[in-house]
Amino acid sequence: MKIKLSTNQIFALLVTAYIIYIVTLSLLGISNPVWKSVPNGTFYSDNLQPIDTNISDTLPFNQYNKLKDSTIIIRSLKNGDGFLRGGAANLDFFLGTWSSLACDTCSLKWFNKHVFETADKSHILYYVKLPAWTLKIKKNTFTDTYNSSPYYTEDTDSVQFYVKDNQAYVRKLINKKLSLNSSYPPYRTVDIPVNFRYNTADKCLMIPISETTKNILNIAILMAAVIWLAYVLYLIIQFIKFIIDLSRGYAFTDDNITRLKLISLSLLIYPLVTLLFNILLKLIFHDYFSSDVILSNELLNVSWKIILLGIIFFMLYRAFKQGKALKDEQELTI
Amino acid sequence: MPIVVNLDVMMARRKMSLTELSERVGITMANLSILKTGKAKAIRLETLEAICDILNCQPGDILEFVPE
Repeated sequence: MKIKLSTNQIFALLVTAYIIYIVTLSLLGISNPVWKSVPNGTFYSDNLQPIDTNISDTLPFNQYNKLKDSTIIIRSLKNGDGFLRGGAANLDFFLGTWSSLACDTCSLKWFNKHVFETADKSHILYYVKLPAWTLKIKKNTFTDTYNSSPYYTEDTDSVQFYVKDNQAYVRKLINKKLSLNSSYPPYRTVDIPVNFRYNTADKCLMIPISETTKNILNIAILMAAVIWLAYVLYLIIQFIKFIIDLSRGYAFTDDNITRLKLISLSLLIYPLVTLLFNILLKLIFHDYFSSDVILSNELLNVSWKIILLGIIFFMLYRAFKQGKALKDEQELTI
Repeated sequence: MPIVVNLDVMMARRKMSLTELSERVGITMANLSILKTGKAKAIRLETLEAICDILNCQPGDILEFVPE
């Protein structure tokens, strides 16, 4: 039985679906560190030591730059995310792998000696990357601004990620319990232990895994990437054939209608599949996720554009389908 | 389809072939064949007028309504 809806009813349904979509994304990505409770193992202090040495802005320019560069290199080495070793793989916003040189206690001198060596695997960490999940991360773990507090004039929602003694932490602000004698400011800095790692370059979460698991995932991701790429090429070929048919004057044909339908459904389903897959990843790795992990803005930015393109192609499909019906009727009118 | 086209009956009565009728009416044999076999979706009044003129009959002689 076909349900016939009026234009206003269809519009109301679309608006409702959009609201449900936005609410679902918000529930997946809401993170307000000022209000959430913290787990055990959290270090509280109103005066936590800076993660990396503060860089004085009174230093001569060359020294300042040299110190800044070495701080960044050592932090990447400690965090184990900056120096690719042993390959990586990535499948869009679905899954990826990463392996990096890591050494929590090593110096810049050690790094300069080992950076190009490939034989030593003892200082390599292996990860599975979750490209759609990220932290609202503050740029540096040191400060070179006038005020020594890293949160001065910064967004209080942002966090700092760092690794110390092979344990990862997230440093952030939380609300103080207010009382009559509460001191200003009304928040304090805390270091919360977490089980994940963070990739600074790709701005995404990483979960530590073994080398074997990483190699297996690499093969799986490669196979999935080949299939995905083949399907994308197939869609592009269908679109090109559609354009060629149009230029030859064969607009309202069954082939063109099928092509437009396939392209529009593929574009509309892809962001949904990406979102559902990432929700599944969150369920699988829920032990590793903390309250600061949010869905990447890049995923949302890309998704709505793909959905818009899908809607345009769907409208084209409906228009061409109607056009073919009119053409058939015209041809069969004697 | 509820509307049945009895063109072949009238052509047999007037002893006229499909080729001759198509030439005299001014439509292609393919279209006339579509009309004869009942695959047509619509017929223009000017076409119906021309057929009735050539076959010397009424529209009701060519088109018949048969309820499903």
